[in-house]
Amino acid sequence: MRVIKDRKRLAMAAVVAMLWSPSSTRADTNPVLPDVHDWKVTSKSTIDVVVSGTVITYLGNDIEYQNPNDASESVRVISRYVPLTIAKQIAKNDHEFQQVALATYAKRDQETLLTQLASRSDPIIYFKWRVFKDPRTGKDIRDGDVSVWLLNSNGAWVFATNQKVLVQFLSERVKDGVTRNILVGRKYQLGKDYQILEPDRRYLEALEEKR
Amino acid sequence: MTIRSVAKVLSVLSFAIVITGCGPKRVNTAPDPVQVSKREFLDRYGFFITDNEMKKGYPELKEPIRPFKEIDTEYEMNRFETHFWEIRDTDPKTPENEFRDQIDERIVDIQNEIFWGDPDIQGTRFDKNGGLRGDMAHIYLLYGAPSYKEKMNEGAYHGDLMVWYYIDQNEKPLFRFLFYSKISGSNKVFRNYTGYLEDTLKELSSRGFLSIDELNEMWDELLRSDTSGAFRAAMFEFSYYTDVTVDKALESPEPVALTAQRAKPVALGQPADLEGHTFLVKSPYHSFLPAFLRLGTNPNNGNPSFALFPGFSDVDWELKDGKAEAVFDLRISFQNKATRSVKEFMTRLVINSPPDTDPQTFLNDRKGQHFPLALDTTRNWTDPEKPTLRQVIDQQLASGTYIVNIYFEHALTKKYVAWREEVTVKNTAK
Repeated sequence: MRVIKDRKRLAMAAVVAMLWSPSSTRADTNPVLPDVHDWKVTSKSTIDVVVSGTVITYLGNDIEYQNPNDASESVRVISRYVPLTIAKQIAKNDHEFQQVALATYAKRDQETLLTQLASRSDPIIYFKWRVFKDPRTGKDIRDGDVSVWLLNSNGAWVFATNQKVLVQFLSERVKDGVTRNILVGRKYQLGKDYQILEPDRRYLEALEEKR
Repeated sequence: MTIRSVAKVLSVLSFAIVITGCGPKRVNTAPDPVQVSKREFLDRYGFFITDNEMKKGYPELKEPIRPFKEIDTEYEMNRFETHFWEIRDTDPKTPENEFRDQIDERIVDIQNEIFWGDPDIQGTRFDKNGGLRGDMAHIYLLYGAPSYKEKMNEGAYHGDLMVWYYIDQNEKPLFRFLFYSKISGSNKVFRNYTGYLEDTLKELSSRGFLSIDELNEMWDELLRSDTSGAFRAAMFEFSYYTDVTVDKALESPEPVALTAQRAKPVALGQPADLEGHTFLVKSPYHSFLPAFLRLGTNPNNGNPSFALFPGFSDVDWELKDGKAEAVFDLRISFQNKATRSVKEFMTRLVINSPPDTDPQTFLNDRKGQHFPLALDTTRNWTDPEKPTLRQVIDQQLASGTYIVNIYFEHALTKKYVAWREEVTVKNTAK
């Protein structure tokens, strides 16, 4: 991230009176982002945070694709959407059949919501790699570099090869006076650049108050 | 004409009138098909028709359906039936209606007298106990086969008794149905939970009147016969759960679609309906609100200072009162690394284009540029009396190292960016 040095500007009121244009590190010089739109999905999972037994927040998707024209090439994409916090109502239902049915209804509603969200997601990390088959063992072995692109919080794509993206589970006290931390999100970090996925905490606070 | 002949004529005429007036009319003996359908439906599924469906029908539908009681056309009966099953379908994704299938299977069980040869309650027949409209069928249709069942043969003071237990997933008796019969009567479910042994025994007795001695004998007889204790438990407590009563258990169950609607999980965090809002510029992102965070130092005391720089093109700008407007919610929390205590600052920032400029031109001219949001002097928007961010940092935080969580969100579209940094605060006053 480019460091902003002009302190005087920071003292000005938060109105659109002054413009500032950093020469951001947008990925002009990086390799082009992988295009996976017609690739085969080989695995898919949601990125979520289980806040409590009844509250879960969905933050994004983690999907692995395979090139349909070259099975040795794969791309994993981590994407984010506007977080969806779902709090299950604890309905006192005394019948197991009814419970199962309610769960089915809830699951259907949830799947609909998650499908809608997936269609409105932003990719934030790409991993791209190739494999070849070891002729002796028949197992897939990495072939060459793993390319990594990460969209940092400034909106710039950062590129690296063979670097690990650190994943940190973030926990925090929902508010002062509450004596325990709860899980609130995930941080994906590549070098100094990072992207945090977490919900608006006001919703968690509201749910915490109901507990 | 003599009086006699006149009388004769009149009598013939009156007879003719009587004949024609009172003669057998052509009575349509074919039963009304709607009433037949309704009766059949009631016989099979009557225990599932709720009070609302019986008395109010489905007034909420675009083409409402009258109450079951009032339906008098086949068309409406068909619609009632279709909707009745639709809202009870436990898995609407499949073409089958699992709920209806299950009830139909239970009806077949009842018609096949599945308990006739059951060693626990041998000889028990639904047809001798009211058929599909009896108490036994009522419970079987609602809850299926019991988890535990036992029969006690007729005694000196009581008729045949039978218990059906339904055990829940916590292995607690959810329902204890106790059936009893008076002399040559069908099995009835016991509902009279007064808590008084005398009342219970009188209800279960097959005799008209019992003296105190006879009641004692009846109780002794029950004690001797009820080796498992299942009957005594069912006599005094219908369910392990105090709020589950026999009357409640026998009510028509609420259609699952309605229960699901009521017990629907709460979904939070998504943007409100944006219809009716006009956006001059829409960010290319669906969920992301990129911005530069400037974490500086206050030159006066060395404490941290905060500013944000979102990009004009990365923000959703709404047309509001002739101006471009973007509203942001900001939350900054400071968690002391040593004490874990949390201090929080929240504010709402409303950014408008200047009043005398065309908002679209204003935004177009600033594509790729960023605007500053100096946060230190910002007040808590919910209460202007509350301290500014600078005052929070300088006056409310004890010296120490803090984890700072910053959450910056577009108030309308909920696109967001978050940071987590570590800062040091040095406040001599604290």
